[in-house]
Amino acid sequence: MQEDDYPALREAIGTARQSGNPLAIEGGGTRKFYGREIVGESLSLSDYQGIVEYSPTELVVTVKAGTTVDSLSQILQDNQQMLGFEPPNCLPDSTIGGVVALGLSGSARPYRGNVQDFVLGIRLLTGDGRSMRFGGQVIKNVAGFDIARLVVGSLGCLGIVLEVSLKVIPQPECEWTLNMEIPEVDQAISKFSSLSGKPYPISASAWCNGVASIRLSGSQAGVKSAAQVIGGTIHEDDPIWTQVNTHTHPFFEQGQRLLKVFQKPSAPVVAAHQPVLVDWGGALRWYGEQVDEAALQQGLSEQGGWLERFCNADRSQEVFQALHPATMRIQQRLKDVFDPDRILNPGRMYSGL
Amino acid sequence: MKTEQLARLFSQVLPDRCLVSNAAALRTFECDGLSAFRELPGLVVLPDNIEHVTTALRVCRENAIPVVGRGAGTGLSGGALPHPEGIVLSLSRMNRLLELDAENRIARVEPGMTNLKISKEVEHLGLYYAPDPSSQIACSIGGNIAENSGGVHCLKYGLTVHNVLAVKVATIEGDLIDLGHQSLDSPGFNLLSLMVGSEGMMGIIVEATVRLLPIPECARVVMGIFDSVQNAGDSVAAVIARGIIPAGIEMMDNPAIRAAEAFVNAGYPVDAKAILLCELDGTEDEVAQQVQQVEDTFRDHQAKDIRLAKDEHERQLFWSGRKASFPAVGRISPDYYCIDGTIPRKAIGAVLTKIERLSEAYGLRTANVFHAGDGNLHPLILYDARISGQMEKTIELGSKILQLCVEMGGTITGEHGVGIEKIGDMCFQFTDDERELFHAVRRCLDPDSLLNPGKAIPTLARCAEHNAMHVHHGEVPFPHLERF
Repeated sequence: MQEDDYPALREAIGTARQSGNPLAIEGGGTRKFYGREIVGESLSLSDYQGIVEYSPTELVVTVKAGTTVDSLSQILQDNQQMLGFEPPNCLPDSTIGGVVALGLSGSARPYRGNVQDFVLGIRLLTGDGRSMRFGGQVIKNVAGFDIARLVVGSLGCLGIVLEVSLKVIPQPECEWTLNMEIPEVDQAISKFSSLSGKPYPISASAWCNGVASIRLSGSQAGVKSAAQVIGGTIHEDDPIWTQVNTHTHPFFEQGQRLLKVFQKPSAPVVAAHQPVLVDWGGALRWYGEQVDEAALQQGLSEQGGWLERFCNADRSQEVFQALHPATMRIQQRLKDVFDPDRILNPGRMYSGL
Repeated sequence: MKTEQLARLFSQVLPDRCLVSNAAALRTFECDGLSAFRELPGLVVLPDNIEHVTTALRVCRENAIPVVGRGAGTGLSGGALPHPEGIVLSLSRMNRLLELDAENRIARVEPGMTNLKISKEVEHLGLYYAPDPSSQIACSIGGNIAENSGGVHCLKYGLTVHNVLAVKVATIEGDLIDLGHQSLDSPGFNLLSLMVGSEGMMGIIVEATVRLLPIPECARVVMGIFDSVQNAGDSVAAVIARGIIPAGIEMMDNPAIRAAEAFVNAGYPVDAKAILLCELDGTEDEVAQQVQQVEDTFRDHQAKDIRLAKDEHERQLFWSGRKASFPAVGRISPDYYCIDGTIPRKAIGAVLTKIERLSEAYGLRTANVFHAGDGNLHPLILYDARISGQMEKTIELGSKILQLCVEMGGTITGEHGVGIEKIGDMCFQFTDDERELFHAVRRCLDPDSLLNPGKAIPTLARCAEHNAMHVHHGEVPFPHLERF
């Protein structure tokens, strides 16, 4: 009944359970900087590549986890399709399994959705060596609990993602970026909010160095008419989105400690703490080294919002926002169900998970 | 526990207006939208506020009383079927709008607010709540979340899971937890997605924060009329292949067209083998361009006629037949049974042909109305419950159709949920390991299995019985596992 097409992975799990030495699950190894410190022996999925099934008219693709995002994107592009969540920070080796495990979404997130919005099904190898399938390859599916989406963003702590089925979207016929000078970040944020309430085909909005950029994607007619109303200078191919999504923007300077702050899109910036880069129409704000984290955290707890130490923090400490004790208790129990011997990426997300 | 005992217990901690214990009144709660399954609850509790909910759950936990959560009772899979020894916790009185944040396009509401009421409350801001199950006038947002409800517009705007940002949940262990966040993403494992669609088995939703969308500037409907179901099915895939995501694309076959036309006079051609209703929305210019493309596509697939609703009145008229198709079928048959499988779009033609054959083999008529854009079928099996044995045959045929959906790479339920109705069908979609994991995950939030016990996920024993006819070489799968 169980297909055994991943014998080496199953064996690695068996060995880890016996020895008690945990496994550090790795896709392309491009995001080793992320999360808490890595313990255990590296287990690479990069050998498991390829499309399992793809029929463009279904708007669904099923791939093995080790498939690189680049190669998948290329195949989709050949069929005028794309990944709606725009996986960010992808180096050539970055894998789709890694993106799903880390739950990273790019600039289109507020308009098109995040990774889990596009995940339809997964095949998972749990910490006790069971291979299971959850969800499926159809858009509407409510049979069984939504384990597929639960696993997205769990940093490999609940199992090894073997295969994933993703909803894909058609590439827009036309894409323009409108740039406008808005010196104050709060002004840019309120501009984004007021535009988001209108039926325009906006697919991204970001602010950096006094310039607000708004991307429109859709039919030629729709983009043109919206651009006329919104205004700004039109750019057919603006480098800002690639720079933000691939972290090649000068802001993502090597070695800098970076904080990601999540707030309601229209929330004013925490007083005296100006973000360097704003994405997601205001819902994601990036801070660099110079910020006083404790004071920012204080402001966020008053205003509603949370932060994540994205890179170059002390990884022996927690890097993600602390959870409510009752929520943490549920997460601990889930860990016990999926990985009873705590051999999969232990502590990568939270200590004790 | 019996009604008198339950009433005594709860009247010590909750006001009388929150309790229903007399037999006639309990009758109202004996079933949800799937009336084939009925059971009188021990007691009904109607909380006014969160404190009442947590109090009721505490009493249940301390006395091991089963709790069946209920929204408006419009569910179609018996998810809110009462437990005879337990309480029904009906959230219908908690129906207020708590917060409307126009700038961020979110509304925070109590679970009993109806789906359509949310859109009505925010209409003046040019906003609406996108998921639109056909019961939207009556169904509640809490129930929508429990079932991960869909509707006509899922292909473009997503299911409930895509449109809920956060929920506040009262757990059976006595905690109030917030899952999700108004900031779009939230830290930790994604418990919000786990909660959505968990059919009342992981907690009671006491508040929901939903995402609102701007009302599209313009919406138009194209009706494609076809002489062949296959051509209609292929047109759906072809529209999507052109890069168009319609707001909705619905298909009806001949029996459904006839029934609907006789009922509401929507102007449907009664001799057509199939019609497609394709709604396009967006800016005026965008819609005009897409209407043209859709018409071309229908023509390429031998549509024998194409009609564009000329105004809002005609658009509503075109939809009226589709929306009234269930009651319309109710007029031509004493009883009907609605199936809810999903299949890959490319299999639509083949599956409809097979359904037709099955229908002949069982001697039962079927009418097909469905969300073609996302492959979500709703075959209606027409039967007469007064004829001995027909009900059983109908259920068997329904199960055969669902099995066919799974074989074609689909699922046994697209939007109605498993509830009590499809619990046996879960056995052929999931393995023993997978179903065991579901039970284990549920126990992470409900260690004593008091929340909606016996629904959604079958036990190994139940599946062993259900799959008895599929045993190969006299061996059950995983013979080493205990079956209880």
